[in-house]
Amino acid sequence: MSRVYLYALLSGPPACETGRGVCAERLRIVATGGLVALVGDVVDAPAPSALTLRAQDAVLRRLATELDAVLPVRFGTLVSDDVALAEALARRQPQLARALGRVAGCEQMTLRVWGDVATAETPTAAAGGGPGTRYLAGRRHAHERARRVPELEPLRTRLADLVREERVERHDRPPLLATVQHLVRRGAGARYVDVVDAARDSLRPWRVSVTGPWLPYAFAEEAA
Amino acid sequence: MSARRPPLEVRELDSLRAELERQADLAAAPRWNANPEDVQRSVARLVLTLVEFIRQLLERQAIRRLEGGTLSADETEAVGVALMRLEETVRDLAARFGLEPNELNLDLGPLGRLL
Repeated sequence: MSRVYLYALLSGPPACETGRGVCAERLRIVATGGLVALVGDVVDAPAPSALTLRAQDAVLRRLATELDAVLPVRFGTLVSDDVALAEALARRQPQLARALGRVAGCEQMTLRVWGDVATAETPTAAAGGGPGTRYLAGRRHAHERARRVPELEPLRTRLADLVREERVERHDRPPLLATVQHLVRRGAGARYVDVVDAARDSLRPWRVSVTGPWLPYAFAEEAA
Repeated sequence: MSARRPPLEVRELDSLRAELERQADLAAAPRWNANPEDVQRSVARLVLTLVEFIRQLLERQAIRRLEGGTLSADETEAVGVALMRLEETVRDLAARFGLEPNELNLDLGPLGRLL
């Protein structure tokens, strides 16, 4: 019995043929509750592999050339039928519509920060009090640090007019220190790379690598 | 995707591969399935995952209140000690059942991972 494999939410129905999906199934459009979903009918979700991930990316990239917004859904997302799909989308309609609006006209660039050590920690205010107070201060500092990449400060002002949104993930597993995803206007990727290249000297001792443009995978978490 | 200058070093690629494998392992967190051969460990994993989930919620709430200035010094100390002991307890119990910290998670299907 086939089930419905959800690929992405779209800003509207594409004018072009939807084509075929990762399992060679014919893709179709389901419009429900103000949302437009790209789906295929499959028996099982494709197993995650470099090949199937690339194939799914290629399906979505092709449609992205025709549409203002393509919001990728987590790889492997299956629902039982169109009714279940409509119910699932209806439950999260406001968040999904917001996420579609956020990525409209945009693509994603990915920066990775490399180095042997992370930037020196700014000492926290003298954590007075007992062990509980110091523990909580340490946890607060860890939460703050997880959202920041001070190694990129020299680059931020230069990229300010290109970047619409940012997602940060600290790894702190040298040499990989952090991954930063930037949402930029479509077509701005080449200029983005030029700006990063021009800033490399100011970033030392840290190195950065850039990949992209990608579909806005890192900004689709609300659709996952 | 296109390669950008300067090229990555081998150790950087190794580091990226290790990180991707770690992420893939996390994404592959199995749905809970009590193995008859190992029921105690399976139950412990489920219970500790839920306790860890609640601990993280409490920690975030405590930090929000700390930042909002709505915790007195005594309350900060008390909450901090409670959270610290809870973390130690979860860690100790997990170790007793041979569970790694990254095993305390649940795959919620289309909703993603619990933690």
